[in-house]
Amino acid sequence: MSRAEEELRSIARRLLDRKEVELIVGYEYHGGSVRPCFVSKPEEAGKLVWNAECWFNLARYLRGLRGLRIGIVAKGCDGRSIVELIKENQVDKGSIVVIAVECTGVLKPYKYGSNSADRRLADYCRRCVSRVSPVADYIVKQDGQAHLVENPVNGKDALDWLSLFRKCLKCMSCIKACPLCYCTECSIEGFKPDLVHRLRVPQELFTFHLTRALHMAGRCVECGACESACPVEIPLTRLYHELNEWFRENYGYVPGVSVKEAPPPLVFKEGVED
Amino acid sequence: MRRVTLVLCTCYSTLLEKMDFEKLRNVFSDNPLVRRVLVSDALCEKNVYESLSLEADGRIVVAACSNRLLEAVFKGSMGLVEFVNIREHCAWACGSREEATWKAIRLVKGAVQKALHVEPISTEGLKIVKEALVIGGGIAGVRCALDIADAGYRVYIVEKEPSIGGVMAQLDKTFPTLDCSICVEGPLLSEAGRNKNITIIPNAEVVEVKGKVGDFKVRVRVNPTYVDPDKCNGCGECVNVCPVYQPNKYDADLKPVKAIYCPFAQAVPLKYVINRDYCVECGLCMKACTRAAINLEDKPKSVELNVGAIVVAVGSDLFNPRLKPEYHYGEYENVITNMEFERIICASGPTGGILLKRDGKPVKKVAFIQCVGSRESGAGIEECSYYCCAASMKEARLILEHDKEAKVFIFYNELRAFGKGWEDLLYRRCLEDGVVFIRSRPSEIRRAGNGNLLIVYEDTLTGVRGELEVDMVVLALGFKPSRRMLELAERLGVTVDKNGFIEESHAKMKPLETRVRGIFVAGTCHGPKDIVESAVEGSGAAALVTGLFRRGSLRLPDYARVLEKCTGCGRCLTSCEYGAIVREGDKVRVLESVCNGCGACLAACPQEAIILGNWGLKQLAPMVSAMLED
Repeated sequence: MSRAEEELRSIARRLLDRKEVELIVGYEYHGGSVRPCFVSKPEEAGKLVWNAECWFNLARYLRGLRGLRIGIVAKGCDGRSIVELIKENQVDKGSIVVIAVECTGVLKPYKYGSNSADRRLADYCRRCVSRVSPVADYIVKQDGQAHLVENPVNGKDALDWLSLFRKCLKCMSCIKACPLCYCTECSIEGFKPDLVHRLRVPQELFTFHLTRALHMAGRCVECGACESACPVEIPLTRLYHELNEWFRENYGYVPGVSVKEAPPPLVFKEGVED
Repeated sequence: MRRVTLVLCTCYSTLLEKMDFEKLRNVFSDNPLVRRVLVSDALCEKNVYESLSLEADGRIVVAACSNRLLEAVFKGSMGLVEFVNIREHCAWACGSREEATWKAIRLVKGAVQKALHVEPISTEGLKIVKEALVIGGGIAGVRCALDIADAGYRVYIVEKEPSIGGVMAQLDKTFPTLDCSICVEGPLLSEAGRNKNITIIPNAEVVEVKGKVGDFKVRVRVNPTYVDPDKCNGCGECVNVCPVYQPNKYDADLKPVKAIYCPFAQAVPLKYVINRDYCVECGLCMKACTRAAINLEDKPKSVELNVGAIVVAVGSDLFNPRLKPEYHYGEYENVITNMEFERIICASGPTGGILLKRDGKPVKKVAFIQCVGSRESGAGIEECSYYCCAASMKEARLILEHDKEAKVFIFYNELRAFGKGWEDLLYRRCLEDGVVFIRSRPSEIRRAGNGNLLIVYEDTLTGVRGELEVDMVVLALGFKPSRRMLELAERLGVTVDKNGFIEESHAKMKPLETRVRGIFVAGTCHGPKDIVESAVEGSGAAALVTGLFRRGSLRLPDYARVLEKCTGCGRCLTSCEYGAIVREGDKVRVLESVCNGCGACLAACPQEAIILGNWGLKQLAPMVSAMLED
């Protein structure tokens, strides 16, 4: 058990003991891997874990748990998605306690059929801009542990997106894993046959992914939840990263950094500088 | 099966050479979705529409010029008519005949699909409650209420003071003709008091406004006056016995009145009120009153009004001269505001119309300082006060009328005598009478050794610095909207401009309408103004209100509706140029009377939780598919 894990458990225990929160959302061991867990009793705090397998973005649960006082274990990118949720009026900042864990990068999740020995740092972690959450009530440091980034520069090699999209099963895992996909009725889940068909119609896969990309533009915090959840390993975060880069270059805007900063697609007025 | 009728227009045959109408007609005659194709020479001509004998309930696609021209022609069947602009968008815009024809076919194909999917929009008009509310009983409000009442509609005037009349009632004379202000306004006020269609609600304020044009629900709080207005006959017996004095707001706090008082002799309604801040509850007035009208246990009352239109005419405050410490107002007793001057020079004022200093000595040398709190970027506003050049010149003439020997100086920045008769009756007369105009914004007022005031200035025409000793300085104050007015604006849902005045819908085309349909604005709450302009705006607003009432029912543009699935993410809030979308709990709400139906929010919503008439995915998806198909 690492020192960070120990500190995380003691913070969680204290929060639950003092009834500062009703529920803590964190990670636990399950069958050789890590899965999200919900801790409501102080004596259960011992099952919380923290390691490089914790790729799942727990901010996904916040909207569903509205009304409760929640403690949440957050990586840098999880914290950035909490910022976006606060901005979009989905989460009340006053009702959450963020336990920010200094993140040293997460591993690519194990996929059925892939070589279990070949575990390496997830691609999106190489583009990481904040290892610690921008909103934090507690910060758990990872002293002495080097960041796992081996090769921070990810080559700007062009990808064959059409053939990548063709692999898509339309399983909707990317939507279900994304903390910022919270629409009550998703326009591309196919409830309305007019825009995208519910079934996997090959011609519509492109529309499906581009619509989703446009909905994520200027909002995606590149936490990689979609990419890690994808059973056919489409590098979706890379797609949203390209859009975010465009926003950064043209407006100097990076999503999820500050609660006060409004996204340019909402506030930009033609002919008005700055 | 639904089918459409296609109407093509050749625009007096001018489009024939630019576009292949034969091909258009053939393509759509073969289309199973098109019932028939009609070609007209000029749809805009008066009788052509009837001669086409279109089905009243049919779905029609009109391929002609701009729908701004043709919508009026097809108004009877609005909602089931789709317009395609093949003139400006195709014939005039495309380089070749083939191109224009190709584009027209695509657009018409799309329109045919859309026409098949549109649903009839309810054309039922809104009913209008034919009663109006005027907030504020100044000259603008009274003029407005009288004009609406004369047209035969009921009007409520909600006034915060015990009497209507506003600032004009306080003035001595009006420019440029120097006629007595209350003598002009008084008859107007009593006419408003007598008019059967006007209900004056004094001592009251609007606390809540709900609903939309034609049907506003307004809650008014009537503050207690401790005198039953139905019983009080204004005899004044109570005043004789009241032992307490208080400064009278009407006299700019210069003249004392009793704690039970009537603000001025021409007050409407002429009822006495008690100021409980000063009342000692001795009960003498209760004994003196022969009609038992006084009740010290009086409580605030709430009045509910249901009106079809609201006119905001609450006026504006004057700039607080204490915010300019260099003029030492409130510290040097002979530095006064122009409103105090008006009361002093007025025959019914504290000195009986004789211009005296605070120590009771006559005034021989007076200086006016212009633009105090206006045309500056500091504590005041950047705009010109509109009235104060003329007011100071008028006051200068009043001084000289009272005392020919007096010396008057006016420190001005630019003398703006732009109104009718101002040049002749004010500026030239002032010059003839020997008023000295000095172009300067004085830097400071000091106290001279003998107790007089010393104005330190630099003449910006000659560049000479100087000091001028005078008996009295009058500060010509600019307008400054009050906090109260901002709160009212918020309650009404109207916007204010950067100076805090209520903003009009369009500066030129809709100067008296606010962004909320059915709420109009008049007088100085709209911007700096003089009496004439305020009265003009009052009449103008009245014309708009009566016009609205005469129409009987109203058809609003279709407004956006928010569905239950809204998540409240707020992306629509910034997309709305009219500010018609507001947060409500977890979701958003559209203000019906503000929404113009532009549809910008529809595009901003990520999950189609806002719908607007026939602009949903149901109509647009088949339309786009039809345009793109081969």
